[in-house]
Amino acid sequence: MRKLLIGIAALALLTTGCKDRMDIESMSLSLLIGIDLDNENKLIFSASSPVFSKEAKIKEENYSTPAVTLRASRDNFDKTFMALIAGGKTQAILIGKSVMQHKGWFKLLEPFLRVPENSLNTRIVIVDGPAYEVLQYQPEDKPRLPLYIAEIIDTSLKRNLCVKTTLQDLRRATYERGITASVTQLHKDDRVIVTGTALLDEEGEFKLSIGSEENRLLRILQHETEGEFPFTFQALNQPKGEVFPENAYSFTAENISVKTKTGHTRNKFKFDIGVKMRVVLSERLFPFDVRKNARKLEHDIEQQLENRFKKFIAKIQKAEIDPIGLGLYARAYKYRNWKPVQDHWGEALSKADVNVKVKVTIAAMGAIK
Amino acid sequence: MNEITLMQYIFLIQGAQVGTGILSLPRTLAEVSGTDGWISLVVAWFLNFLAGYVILLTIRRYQDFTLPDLFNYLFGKWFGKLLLLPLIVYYACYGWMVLINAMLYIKAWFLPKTSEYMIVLLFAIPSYLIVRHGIRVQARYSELVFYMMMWMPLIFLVTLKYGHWIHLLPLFKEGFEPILNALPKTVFAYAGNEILFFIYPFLNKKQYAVHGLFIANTMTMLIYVYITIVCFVFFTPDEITLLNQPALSLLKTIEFRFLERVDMLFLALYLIVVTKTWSAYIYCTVFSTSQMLKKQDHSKHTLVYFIAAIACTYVLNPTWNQSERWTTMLSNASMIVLYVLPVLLLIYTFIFEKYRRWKAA
Amino acid sequence: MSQATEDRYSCSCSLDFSKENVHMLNHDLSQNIEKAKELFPAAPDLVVFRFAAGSQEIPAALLYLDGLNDKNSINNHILRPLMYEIPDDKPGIPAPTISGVRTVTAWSDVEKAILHGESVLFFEGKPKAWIYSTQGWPQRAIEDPQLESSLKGAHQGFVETGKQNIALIRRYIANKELRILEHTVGQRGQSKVWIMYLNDVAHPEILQELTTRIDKIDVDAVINTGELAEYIEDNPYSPFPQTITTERPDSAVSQLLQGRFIVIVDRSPGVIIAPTTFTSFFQSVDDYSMRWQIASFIRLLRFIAFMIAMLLPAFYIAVISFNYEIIPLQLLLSIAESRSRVPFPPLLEAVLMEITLEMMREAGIRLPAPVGQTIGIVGGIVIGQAAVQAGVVSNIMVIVVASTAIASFILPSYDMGTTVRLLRFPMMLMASMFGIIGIIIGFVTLVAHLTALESLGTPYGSPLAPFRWSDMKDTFIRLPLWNMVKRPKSARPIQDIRIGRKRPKEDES
Repeated sequence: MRKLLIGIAALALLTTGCKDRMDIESMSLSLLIGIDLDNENKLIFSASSPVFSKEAKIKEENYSTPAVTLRASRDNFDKTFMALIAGGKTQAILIGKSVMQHKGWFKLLEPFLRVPENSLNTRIVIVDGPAYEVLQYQPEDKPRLPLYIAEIIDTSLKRNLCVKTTLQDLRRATYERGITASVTQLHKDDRVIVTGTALLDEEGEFKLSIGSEENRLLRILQHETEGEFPFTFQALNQPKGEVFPENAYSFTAENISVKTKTGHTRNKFKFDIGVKMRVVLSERLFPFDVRKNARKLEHDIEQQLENRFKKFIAKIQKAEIDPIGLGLYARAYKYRNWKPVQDHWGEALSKADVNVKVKVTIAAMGAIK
Repeated sequence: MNEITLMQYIFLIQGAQVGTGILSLPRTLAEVSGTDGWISLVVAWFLNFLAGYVILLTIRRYQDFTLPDLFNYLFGKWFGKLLLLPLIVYYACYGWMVLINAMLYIKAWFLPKTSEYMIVLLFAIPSYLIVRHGIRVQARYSELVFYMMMWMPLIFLVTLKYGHWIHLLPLFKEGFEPILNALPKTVFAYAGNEILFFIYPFLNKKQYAVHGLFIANTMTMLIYVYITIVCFVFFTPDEITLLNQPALSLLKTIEFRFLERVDMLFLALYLIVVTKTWSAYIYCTVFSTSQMLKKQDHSKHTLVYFIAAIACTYVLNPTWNQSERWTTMLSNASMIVLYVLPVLLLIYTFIFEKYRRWKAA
Repeated sequence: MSQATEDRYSCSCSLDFSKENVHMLNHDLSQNIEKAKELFPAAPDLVVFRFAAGSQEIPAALLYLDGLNDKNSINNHILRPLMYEIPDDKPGIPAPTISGVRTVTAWSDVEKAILHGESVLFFEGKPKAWIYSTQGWPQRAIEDPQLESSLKGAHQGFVETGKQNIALIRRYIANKELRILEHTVGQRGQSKVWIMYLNDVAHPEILQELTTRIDKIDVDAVINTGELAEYIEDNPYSPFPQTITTERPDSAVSQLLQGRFIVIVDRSPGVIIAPTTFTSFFQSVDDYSMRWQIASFIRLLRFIAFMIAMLLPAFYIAVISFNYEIIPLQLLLSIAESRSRVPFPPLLEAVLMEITLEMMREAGIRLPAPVGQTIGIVGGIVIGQAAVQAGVVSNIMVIVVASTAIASFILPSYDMGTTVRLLRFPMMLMASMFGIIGIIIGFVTLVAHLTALESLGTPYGSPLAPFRWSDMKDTFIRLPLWNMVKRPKSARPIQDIRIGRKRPKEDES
């Protein structure tokens, strides 16, 4: 009796198994996805997928098509790609600026969040222009485009030229009322360049772009102090040169520690952010005796940084956004004051008092005096 | 000869408690009590330990009686069997429920096109090999699986680097009420003490039974609190209520250079841990039925149970919504079995023994 | 003959006149010889040597099977004294100078004696026969066992004579507690089987179980140890070996000292060690001769190799058919490129390569030594490379199959190695049907099976299944010998301690 049951079970397993099998060579992995809006505000989706056949000369295939939603566009891709589309390895989602100028575009990325097969680590990138142009770029001196784009974003992050926002980060910022999103910004003319970071508001609408220096300030305020933080300033109390900038100097900040204090007085929030950093000089174009007058140089750095922070914070307050995430601190430390304003935190922040104090210590000056 | 050691006793209880509930637990807690949800777990731990202690108080008097024997003794042959029946149904349904939950996870994450009953058949094969033997094999298996899978919670530490501890502040932001309201949601996760009725008689050092119970419940509590706090730290308070299984979504973001998609590997390995849970309940079921029918060997009953489970799955084709509804119903039943029944039994045995002594005098 | 010589020749056997005379020896020598020739009708190797014994020239005959007897013994120690050495003063026939002698009177005993290689001496007028143990069949010299070579251990292996094997073991344990029980198995084969154990260490219940099982065997003959092992094992359907078969005396003795039992089968160089546990198949004698850190590393390597040998092809199939998301993108792209040329589905490709490898392995056993090397190189390298070039298999598959093969050779026990080779295939099948979940289910089935399996009543999965912390000192790692004070609990020894006083600390004298 038992043997009979074992036989039946084995037969059942063998005959009805392997319905889920999908060999990798018969899959088209959509490694890059692009979303655009054309002139009539219709959605255009693009996908780029590697070709595995030895007989193909070009290693990528890409296609752009209009469709209702991202998932619906998959059918159109399947019509022309060699195999069935699979989304588990998408490296980046390129979104054209035209899309981000409207509110609520985040919903387009729903299938990536819902279907368990898809990855949450896809990088979200805004393209200054149409996304499908980047997708169709096939440089000869670079590896495959999806890998190339992933690499430049990752390496730019190491130097803090931009933020790296994965889908998980974007979802977090979008659904969290205390922080607004920031995404990497790309630009393509005849090469692909990472231009900086784009800051969005609570509904996802594009507000402003910041360059690499302000990006570093943003990262410091966010308490994200990993990677390199090089700055180049022009000293205030040194003579400017005519042709060459003779008052310029550069340094790298290491060991940055940031503390945020939250307060609430007179009906508005007050944030005091203290930044401490140790600095290593990498370039100095004017004569200066660091051994004796280090304090002067440190003072210069502190002043310039504080000015820059002030300008940056004024910018984001004017735009009523909070990419720093001060809302989280407000909720954590002043919950009762947070509750009434939680649904329009950007506005509340624009009225708040945000002060940044910087303390700098020069740790090393390098090999020459 | 059919004895289990103290460590095996602890791992059996802990194995029966930690099942599929843990994956969605942070979300269900956050829905009711926000980021203070983890405090509910601590409160629930205390209540569960008390309930387990009450069970021990009752069965301590009858050191070698398993539940069927106990009911036989307390309520007579026929009434005892009658009272045992709903309990057998409870254990059987609970075991099947855990099977179905695991099946739904596997179907969603790994094998979307495979039919449900096929997956349950896959589960049944190793489970049959374990449950058909006595309690000792079951205990050895639980112990071995615990040691094999001990390292799994450590993976979550990788995500702490990207977490923000300030999500947890401020504590008790809405007061105590939400914390207490979340308690019913923890019942399904903590249910496991009821197998005490079946494993206590086999424990070789019965004087440590309470200590073992305490250690097992504490281990469960620590695991749950750990996972919940890690989820709360990583996900923002608004985000976590959107995710169906925060623990798995958390693991999705971990990437190593040699291994991506850690959540798939983790879920596949976690399946091994879940086998412990349903094996314990199915063992209780078939043990009771074979005791009721006066058979010593319950392997045929095990076979019947698994065939019935596969058949039910084939006929009912459970969906996620159905499974959540049944889980809620089962949690209500668990509350009765875990909290109400031991107290009633304790009072009844107290009166019963007094009556016996009075009759004998 | 005179009474004195009769006394000298008599022994404790009694003349049994109650049996029929037909089965008893006759007084007449010629009749006895005729009867003997009748018993062995088609046996040209039966030698019947008639001679005159002693100074009184009494007719006598010596019967033996040529080839089973030691000629030297017969000629110099039986025939010479009987035929040539005539003492001056003692009357009668001088006794042969052989220590193993007995007298019998029944024909069945004579038949048995001749068949077992003893020589039978008849005298005229005596209704009994003298049996001398002059056995001397062809034997091979003691050499290193082929399958279990060791670097630092003794280079002695068991031989095909049971008594010699017992002697080899007695050399290691010169202790009166070493007991031997003798059984006979097989109706036609009549093989002698000896159970050896240490009386104060081994558990009597297990001894009882083992003895019962051996006594229950009812077969024609047991030719090799492997057959006996199959008759006494607990679960014939399990793919795992439940007894160790070894040809090394030193490993057999180390198991004896842990409280296990050795079963020696006459005519076979392998001895059975029972009861065993799963982890004892990963231990080899060399582990204890190396430094413990190296030994631990190699032990861990063996366990990893076990996992690789069993799971790697299955994991590969699962990853490229079901769960591609797990591998990093770069690796995925290169695998996909090499797979795109292969026309077969992954399972077929894997099974094809594995079957080819298994065939090469089996062929290698039967090839004579000079040809074997060439075939190994030709088969392995050329065929593998050519297959990849032709596009029949992908090169990742070749790497996977090669690593699996190497990993399966690391296990010190040949039986466990063959088990792993076999278990690969169901795993691959499960992986090709259900992906990683299939592998997990297969793995859990194995674990469940190992947890429930027993070897002679002791748990097979020990020290993992009933988890024993103290036995862990010698499982995955090998702690220093002075750390392992007690015997492992898996064989249920009744005497625990095996190491005495502790090492002196520091400068303690």
